[in-house]
Formats: sequence, C-alpha cells, structure tokens
Amino acid sequence: MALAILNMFDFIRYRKWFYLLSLALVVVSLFGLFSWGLNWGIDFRGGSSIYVEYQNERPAISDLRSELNQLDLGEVEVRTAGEKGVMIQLTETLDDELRDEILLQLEQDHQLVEGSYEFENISATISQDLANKTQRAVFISILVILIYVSWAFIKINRPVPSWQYGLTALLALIFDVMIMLGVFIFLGQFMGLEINVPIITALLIVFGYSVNDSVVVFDRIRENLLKGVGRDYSETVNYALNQSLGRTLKTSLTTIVVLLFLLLLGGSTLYFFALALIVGIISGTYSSLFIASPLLVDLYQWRFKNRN
Amino acid sequence: MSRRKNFLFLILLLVAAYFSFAFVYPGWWTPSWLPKHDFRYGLDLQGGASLIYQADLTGLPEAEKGEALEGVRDVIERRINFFGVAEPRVAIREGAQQLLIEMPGVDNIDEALAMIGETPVLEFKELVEVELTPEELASIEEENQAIRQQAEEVLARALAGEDFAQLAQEYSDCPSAEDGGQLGSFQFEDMVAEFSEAAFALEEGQITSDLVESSFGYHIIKQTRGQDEEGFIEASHILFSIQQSEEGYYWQNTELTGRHLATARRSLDAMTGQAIVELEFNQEGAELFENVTARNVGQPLAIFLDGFSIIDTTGDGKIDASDLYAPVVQDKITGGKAVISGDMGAQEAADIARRLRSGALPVPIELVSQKTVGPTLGRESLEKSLYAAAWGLLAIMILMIIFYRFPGFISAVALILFTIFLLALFKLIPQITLTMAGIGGAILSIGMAVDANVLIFERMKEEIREGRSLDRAVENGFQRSWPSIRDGSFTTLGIAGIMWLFGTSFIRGFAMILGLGVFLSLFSAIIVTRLLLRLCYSGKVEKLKWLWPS
Repeated sequence: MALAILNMFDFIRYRKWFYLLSLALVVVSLFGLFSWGLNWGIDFRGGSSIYVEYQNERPAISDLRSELNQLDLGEVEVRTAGEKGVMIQLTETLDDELRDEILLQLEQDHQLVEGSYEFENISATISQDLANKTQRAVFISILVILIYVSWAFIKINRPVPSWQYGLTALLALIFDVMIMLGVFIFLGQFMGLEINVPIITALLIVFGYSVNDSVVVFDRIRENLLKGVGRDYSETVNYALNQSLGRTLKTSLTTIVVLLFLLLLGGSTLYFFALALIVGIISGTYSSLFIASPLLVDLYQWRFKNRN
Repeated sequence: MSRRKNFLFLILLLVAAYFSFAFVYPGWWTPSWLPKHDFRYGLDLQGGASLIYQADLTGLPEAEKGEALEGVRDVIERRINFFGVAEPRVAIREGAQQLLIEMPGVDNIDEALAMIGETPVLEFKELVEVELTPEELASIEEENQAIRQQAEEVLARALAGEDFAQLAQEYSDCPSAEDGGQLGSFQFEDMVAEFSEAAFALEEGQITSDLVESSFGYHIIKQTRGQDEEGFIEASHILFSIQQSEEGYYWQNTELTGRHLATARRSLDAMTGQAIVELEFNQEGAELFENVTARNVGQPLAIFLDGFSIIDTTGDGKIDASDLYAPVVQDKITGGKAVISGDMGAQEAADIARRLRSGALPVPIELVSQKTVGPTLGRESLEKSLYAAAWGLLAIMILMIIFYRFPGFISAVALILFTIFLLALFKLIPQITLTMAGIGGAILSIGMAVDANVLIFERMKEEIREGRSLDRAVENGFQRSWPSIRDGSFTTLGIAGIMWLFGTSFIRGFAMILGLGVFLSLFSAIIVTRLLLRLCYSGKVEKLKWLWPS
C-alpha cells in the first residue's frame, strides 16, 4: 500500500535517545523532590492567608516581612502576587483581631485598594480531609484510565496484548506527573508556586489529556494493523505516529494558546493553574509521541525475543 | 441526508442560536416572552464569605447523626435569614459532618460568625396580662415626656448638620448605635409601618424633619442610599426607647427552656392518622411543665427559637416578628410527656420536632475554614478571566483558519455557536454557578472543542492527498476520525466524573463545566461542522482549490 507521507520522522529508530532524555528529566525532578520537596499550599497543610492589593506602589517585601515578624505570628511568609498584590501566609489560623492588626501594618505607609482582598483560614481538619480526598481522586483516575485503555483496545491482542497499551499509556502518564512535579518544585522555589487545589485539578486534567494523546496514536496503530500497513510492528507504529503528528501538535498548540491568554490576562488566581496546564500539555504531547507508542515496540520485541 | 433536509436543519440551528444569543445577551433583539436569567456567580467572583463548620456529633447514635446535622443546618439557615443576607446557602458537605455556609456580598463576617456559632435558644412563653396602677401610668408618662424632649434636642442638632453617626453612637438605644446607627439595606415591609413610611419618603442623605413615633419609641431617620430597582434603601436611625404604657397581653418567658426538653419527634396519631409532635421532658422539666400547663389551661403556649417563632405561620416563606406558633394547652399535663396535635402537615410536624430537638440538644459546632473575598477583587477576577477567554477564542479561530482554510473557517463559526450555546446552558442549568474554576474549565473546553475538528480535518487532508474526491474526503474524514474522538471524549468525561465524585467545590465547579463542554463540543465539532461543510462542498466553494487544505 502506498503511503503518502513525506518527510517521515523515524520515532522508533531514535527512541533510545528520547528514553535517555526522558530519564534525565525524571532524574532532575527526583533530585529536586528530594533536595527541596514540594511547596504545599494552605489547602493541604492548614493555616491562613491574607491577600491585599496596593493602590499605587507596593512596599518592599523585606520591609513588610520585618514589620510582620514583630507581631509574633509564628512562621510568616510574605511574597508578591500579581502586579500590585501581596500575599501573606501563616501556619496558624488567624482570628479577626490579629488579622486587623496585620492589615493595619500592611497599610501603614501605602494605601490599599478597597474591597480588593482575600482572607482564608483553613484548619487542620479540613486540610487533612482535602489531602485524603485528593489522594483518592488521583489514585482512582489512574486506575480508571488504565482499565479504560485496556478495555478500548481489547480487540487488538496481536501482536502485543491489549493491556500493554494501557501500561505504556500509564508509563507516559507517570512521566508527565514527574515532569509537572519537577516544574512545580522549581517554580515553588523561585516563584512561590504552591501545590493547592487548582494545581491538583490541572494535574488531573493533564492525565486525561496525555492519555487522550496516546489513545489517538493507538487508534491509528489499530487501524494500520487492520489494513496491514507497515512491514513489521515497528513500522506500523512509526506510520501511526507520523500520521497523527499533525493532529497532536495542532491540538496542543490551540489549547496552549488559550491557556497562554489565561496566563497573561487572567489575573493571579488562575496564573499557576494555567502555567501548570501548559507544562502538562507540553509534557503530555511529548510523552505520547516519544514514550507511550515507542515503548509498545520494545515490549513487542522483548516478547518476540523471549519466545525464540 | 438530502440537501433539503440539510437546509431545514441549518434553519433550525440558526433559530436555536438566535434565541440562545438573545437569552445570554439581552437587548432590543430579545423577544419579550423570553425568560430573563442572570448568570450565577460564585463567591470568588462576586465577593462574599464562605464558612465551613465541623459539627461534633460524638455520643449520638449513628442513626441520629444525619437528623442532628440536618437540625444544625436548619438553625443556621434561620439565623442567616434573620441576618438579612441575600441568597445565602447552607449545605451539608457529603461524607463529612460539616456544614458549608456561603454568604454572597457579606464581607464583614465578624458579626455573622458570632451569631452562627451561638447555642440555639429554645423558649416557651405564656401570655401575661399587664395592669398598671394610675401612679405607675403617670410616672411612665412623665419619663416618656423627658425622653421626647431629649429626642427633639438631638433632632435639632442632627438637622443643624452635626455628624449623624456620632449622635447615633452617643444617644441611640438601638444596637445599631455601635455602627453609627446604620441599619443596612432593607425593603419597605422589613420595618414597622411608621418607620418605613418615613424612611422611604426621604431623599438620599436627607434627615426626617420631625420625630417618627413607633411602638419602639422615637426615631430620627436618615436615608443613606436611595431606592434601587428591587425596592431596597439604606438608612441610619437614632432610637429613643420609650416605656410601654399600654395595658394588655404580653408574651413572657416561662421557667421552661430547651434545657428541660429531653427529646421531640414527629409521629402519627393512632386514631386520626394526623401528623403530631411528641415531646418528652426530663425530670426537672416534667415538674416545670406541669406547673406551666396547670396555670395555662385553655391558654396558648408559644414556642420560640432564637427569639422568633419556631415555624413560619403566616405562610410567606420567611420567619419574622409576624409569625407566632402557640399551641393551646388542653389540660394540665403530668409525667413530662406531651403531644402537639392539630391541623398540621407532615412537613410542618417534622420541622417543629427537628427544631425542638436542636434547641434541646444543641450540637456543638466549630469553625474549621473561612474564606472572604472582597467585592472589588471578585469583579476584577471576573473581568480579567472573561477578557482572557475572549482573546483565547479569537486566537483559536484564527489558528484554525490558518491551518485548514475554508473548513477552518467553518469550524470557527461552529466554535462561536459552541460558545453561545455553552453560555446559554450556564444560565439555564440552575446547578451551575460560575466560579474562577468554572471559567477555567470553560476556557479549557474551548481549547479542547477544536480537538475533534483538528482530528477530522487532518484526516480529511490525508484523504485528499490519497486522491479522493472532495466530498468523499470530507465524509471519510468525519467517519474515520470518530473512534479517536470518541475515545478522547470518554477519557476526559471519565476524569471529569472522578473529579465530580471526589472533589471539593472548586474541582466540582471545574469538572461540571468541563464535562458539559465536552458534550457540547461533540455536537459543534461533528454535527454542526459537518452540516455546514455539506451545504458548501457541492457548490462553488469546491472549485476554489485554494480554499481547501492540502
């Protein structure tokens, strides 16, 4: 059968290089995880936060920090947020009196925008509850995806068993999680990103997105197998990857463009949410092209070798 | 499908789009019979306070926990309604012994917090007659005369331009004195008639020229904000309480309180099958109840919770000073067991029993989470995210046209329809409240909505390259990309479903809108795009090769 694809990229031939690159990225993430750790937000660790916006100029963060340290609030974190905002976080929950005292300090020399604030108090009961719920949601999402992909490909048991499609999609997913965690750790260290509910939401969305990308290629592999495209399995997979390359890149691009607008114009609440999604979508696109499908070929070859 | 059918379907689609648009964005183009709805905004976008309380139900049998929590919710809801919050929401959080309270527009929550956390007060009141001796009457009259004189003096000072708030702080007998006499916003029927008549007759900033007399005493009223469309005004007042000189009947507390009630439950009268409420007092309560009933045979005994009637008796949907629930004592009751019977529905009996219980066995609650968003910040967030969404939408449309030319243009049109329908659904489905998370979900679903189109058009390009005729290529494109579109939508819907099941309100808001977006995008990407392309590819458009991707 004649194939009308010009300029095919040989994903399969260069796959080992990309495995190496992927592994290196994962190692960097793990290194960050063990040396710095994740920066959990008050959603998950309890505490309180105060966000305010200044009318004109924002006071220096170091000044605010030293002023607030005099109030005996325990551990205080102060950082900039958005253009004119300041975010303060405490490990203790705040009562009204203490909050008013902090506000008084904040507007000592610089005027605040009226009505432009956010206060939050989260006790340990709630944060623990949230952490449990989140763990469950993440775990069940992974399980459901694994079952779904295996089931969707149950009809193609040759040349690789259907569960292996689920497995490689899952490995790609684990890669995405590692990359996102790595980026979160890095941004947490240098830009004040915190792992909170929106970030976890972004993580779950990327699960769906990444698997979706892998499934589109798998679908193409299934079709090619039925049509008998390619001389062997690795060629079938490579064709499928090239055939779906345009779609994968364009879909990612359109989604990233919308998210870029959200990132740039959407204000501080959704800033890191959009950023996390962009990172995840790039990683999801990469992993479905360079990890999920190429690994199928390895699994196939490994089986083949063991049989002989 | 025949061409005629396609045209018919197109007209239907356009009509639906027109009405959706008119519904979403009302203007002169909106027919008057179309229902008017506003978007429902979450607290993060309109400002307000949300609180989570943890109820301590230890010691209660498992079967009663749900009931007890329901009772706490009920009591809190009553209190917030008295507080005058517009559209509050009190909900039990599933799977947890927690209550979520949302109060839009409330930014100073100290007062609300104090009120919500209080222990419910259940009171039983009896009617007493007040008789006054002529000497008592005279002295009261004298006192009231002095009060009136002072009120006149203060009125003169207020009219002369002295600071109203300061005068209120100094002289007013109303609890509002602390806030400079501010009463907040209210409607005509919220206040006693004499007060409302005077307050609503004023102009913004104006002070009453004479003292206003009501059953509470003398008021000096200043309107601080004029009447809005919903009939609300804001006003401050200075109150000079007077001694009641009228003889008559008053509700007076008996020695019986919620502390003496052991339990209360709804039941059915074995004889008549009517709903009744059974009360059981504890030992001390039984004695007290005996005394109270003994001296009130044939008289009503009113039940108050938190200072107001236990249920809505006027049937206006809210509980206020005009409601009064007072069953008549039939006989002296010994043994501490009583039954309230009479013409009441099952729901009413359940309400009474639950509220009696919540007054008898107060469930301790603890504030575990609190979030307040300022109104300005909320509005800002809304504006910014809508702005971002609009630009994102435009960018996608341009990208699609660059990638796929004519079909890309068609998908851009479909995307506009997608957006209009999605917004209409936001207004239409009462469960959808727009939050930051929801807008994030909507923006993401716009990005994902074109995914199906990208799959179809890529496939179409391949088919064209393989030498198929244009109409064949279009049809094959739709048909052959379906398995991928289906699988992809399933995974996204699955994830949205899991988020919905296990998520917090942020995640739920996101998941719901994302799920809705996925469904709608299937409709717009497959049905709408295919219809529009079918209508075009047989005409002149087909001959213009540059319009099609290759």
